[in-house]
Amino acid sequence: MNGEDFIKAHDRVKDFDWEASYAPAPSRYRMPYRIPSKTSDPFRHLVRDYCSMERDKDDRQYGAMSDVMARAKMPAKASERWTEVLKMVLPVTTYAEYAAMKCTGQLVESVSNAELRQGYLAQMIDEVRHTNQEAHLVRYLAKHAPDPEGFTQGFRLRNTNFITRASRAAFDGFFAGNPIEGALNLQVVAETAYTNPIFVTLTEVAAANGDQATPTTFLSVQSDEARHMANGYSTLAAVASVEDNLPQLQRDFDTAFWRQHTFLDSFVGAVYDYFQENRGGSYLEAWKEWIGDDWAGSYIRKLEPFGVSLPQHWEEAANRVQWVGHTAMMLFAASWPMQFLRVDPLTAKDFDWFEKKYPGWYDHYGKFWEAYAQMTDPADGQLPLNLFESLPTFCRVCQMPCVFPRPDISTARIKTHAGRKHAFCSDGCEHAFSIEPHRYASNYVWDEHFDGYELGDWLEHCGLLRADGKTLIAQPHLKRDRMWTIDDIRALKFEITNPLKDLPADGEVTVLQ
Amino acid sequence: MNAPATGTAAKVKTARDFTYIKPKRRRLTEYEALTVHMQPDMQGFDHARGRIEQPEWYLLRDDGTPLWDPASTALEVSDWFEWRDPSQHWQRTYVRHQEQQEGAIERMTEDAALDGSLAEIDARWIRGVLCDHYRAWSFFEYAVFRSLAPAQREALSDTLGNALCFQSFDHLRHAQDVICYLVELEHHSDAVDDAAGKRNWMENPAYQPSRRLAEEIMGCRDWCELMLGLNLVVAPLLQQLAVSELVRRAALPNRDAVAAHIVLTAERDRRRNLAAAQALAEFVVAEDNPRADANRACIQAWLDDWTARADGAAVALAPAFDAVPVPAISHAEALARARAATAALVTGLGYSSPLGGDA
Repeated sequence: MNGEDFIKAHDRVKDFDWEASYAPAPSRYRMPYRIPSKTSDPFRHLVRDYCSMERDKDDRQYGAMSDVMARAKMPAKASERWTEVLKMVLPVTTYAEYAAMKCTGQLVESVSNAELRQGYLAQMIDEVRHTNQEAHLVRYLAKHAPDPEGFTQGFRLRNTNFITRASRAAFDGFFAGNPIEGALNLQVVAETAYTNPIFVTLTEVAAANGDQATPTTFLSVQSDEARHMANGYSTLAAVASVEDNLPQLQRDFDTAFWRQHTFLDSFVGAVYDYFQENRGGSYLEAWKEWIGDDWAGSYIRKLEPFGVSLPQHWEEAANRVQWVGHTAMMLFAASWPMQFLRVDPLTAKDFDWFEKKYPGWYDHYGKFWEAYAQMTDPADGQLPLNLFESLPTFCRVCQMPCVFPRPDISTARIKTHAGRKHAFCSDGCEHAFSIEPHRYASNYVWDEHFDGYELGDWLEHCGLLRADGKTLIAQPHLKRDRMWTIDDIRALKFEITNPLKDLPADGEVTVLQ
Repeated sequence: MNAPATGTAAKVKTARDFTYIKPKRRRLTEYEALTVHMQPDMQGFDHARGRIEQPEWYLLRDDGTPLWDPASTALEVSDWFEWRDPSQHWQRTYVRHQEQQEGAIERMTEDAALDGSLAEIDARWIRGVLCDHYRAWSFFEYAVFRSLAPAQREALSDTLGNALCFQSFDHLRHAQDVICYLVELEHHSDAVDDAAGKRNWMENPAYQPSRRLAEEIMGCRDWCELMLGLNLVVAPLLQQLAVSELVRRAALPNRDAVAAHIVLTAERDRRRNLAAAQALAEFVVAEDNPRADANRACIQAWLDDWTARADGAAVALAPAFDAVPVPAISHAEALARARAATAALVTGLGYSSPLGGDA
């Protein structure tokens, strides 16, 4: 088909919708927006071209992984420190893709625009693609990585691990609310702001650390993301073109940004900065380039003439990025037995890098990491969790621990609503709760689930032991000897507690209409 | 290179696959490994099983209902995640399959254009069947695409959601193929009137029962009802008549090999979706399901209802058969064949059919 025919065909597929006259049915999703029927899908895809393009990409990616990389035993040559963190990263991103697929189903139903609907369909299949690609990478690493423990279990552990629980709280936002709220969470924030630092810059870190499988997969994923960003921009521009939509749009945008920020900046920051062995740039540098300059400074500011402003808590987020990854990682390392990967201590080279990239880092985190390095041998019987008074409370909205941006300047607060006590990590999360408290009625936080569990019992409950039934999947080092066992943990008599029970409330949540 | 693990943990053979997935057969397939438990199951696989017994949801929908709601279908089973798609498709295999089908259509169209076959097609076939009828039918296919996209969102397991997602894609592919073929035919014939299809779809009495059904399909909120109604009734009865009998069967006598081939690819998809629907119908009435009888009664009611509506639409399409220049089959004969095939299919699954035949 030549170019002229292609344009003609594409113009015709835009005319598939019609005004129902026999059985008009309202969307099953509440739609507080009016969408104009004329917008544009800048990619002009037909199914035929889409299939051809995606098949080529699949062949390249899966071919490379099954042929060259597996034969060359490349997974075994990658930095082990880096490979470990993929045990958690990949189940997290895989769920994001799956949730994105659900978002696009809602959009097809609700956005009365045939051109956008077909763009969403391509994204829907893309998201199945990405789900499969990333699950395939987990399975590939389970088969080929030196230590498969953790790779084989990651999907099973997503609801008992407190970090992966928080990822669910973020990504459920892709499809829990009205379809435009989902598009804002997914396309406008997660994909447009965050996929570049995750799928592009993070792959540079992976490659620098000898991991070729992750870049092969992630860059293939990212090659679809430009279309999704365009879907997001088209959706956003269409919604913003109707003035009556603007108050709801800004409200949903504010909440979407904060929901994604609270998890993604803490999590990706920790992954990016703490699991590099051959060190390059920092997450803060990547964030400033991709999210500060490109997303906020260019993409969102271009929408200001249409009445869309930067999110309400944008400045606060920009300030928090300096610290949130370090705080998350400190808690992650402190609670290492509860994780499903190995976290090795930082080296002198790492210390220098952190202080250079994040001036003041040592004053806030250096002492912890020095102590952590002294606690790796089970014979010493020391858990870094004991360096803290107690486990933190967890935020009712984002499910992250209430320790951000840094424990000494934490913005946590405890409020009550309808007789129930809630911890919030920040203004942004309290605000999200205050406008829709009913959406958190079936929500529990990690320590409400496991209050009173002895740590050894909890590890067994969650299945966090290796195949021998004794050795922990997680370890505080990468060594092959001196591995911690369930007996070492039981000897410490550590009990999980829910501090929220005993902490006084600071007041009642002010519910906003 | 890192040394292999030694010490305590290395003395026991460590699994290197997803052992938490229960394979349908002896070994875990790639399809199962990449599909099963991608969707959280808050009452089963993902239940934390700590101090909180009730299923939890991090964020409810804005009306306060759960993200995946058992009430999204009237059917009940204890574990939707046990269902498997007989085709075993995951994205790569599915897209490869569709790329092959589309590539074959594209090459065949190109060859038919170059050897002059397209220019030899009777103008009455192009106008009366391809534009007036097949193009009108593309709107029906589009409606099915639209209905299945949110159905995949609501499905209560990943295996079912993915199957619905792929079927959704099938129907948009088919709808677009009609357009692409007519665009090519415009180079070879003056008889093409692309707008005729929508005019018929909106105004011609012969298409109004089909349009009504398409609108009802888009309004159907029960994803199991859609999967079963579309594949066990609408496909063998109405799509068989409107596309397979009218277009594919008549295409070759009317010297249009390309249209026949396009329909053949849609029929291949249809067989795959039929197998999935049959697997669902059998799955929900399995002997160990205490709700099997209620499910069976519900499905019977659905089949009766969908059969009546699809049959009415099929009856109304009679005038479309009159437009075929070289008739291959009469409407009455095509309808009888489609009815018989549908009845055989439904009774074969243990249900009675309003078209004849008891379970």
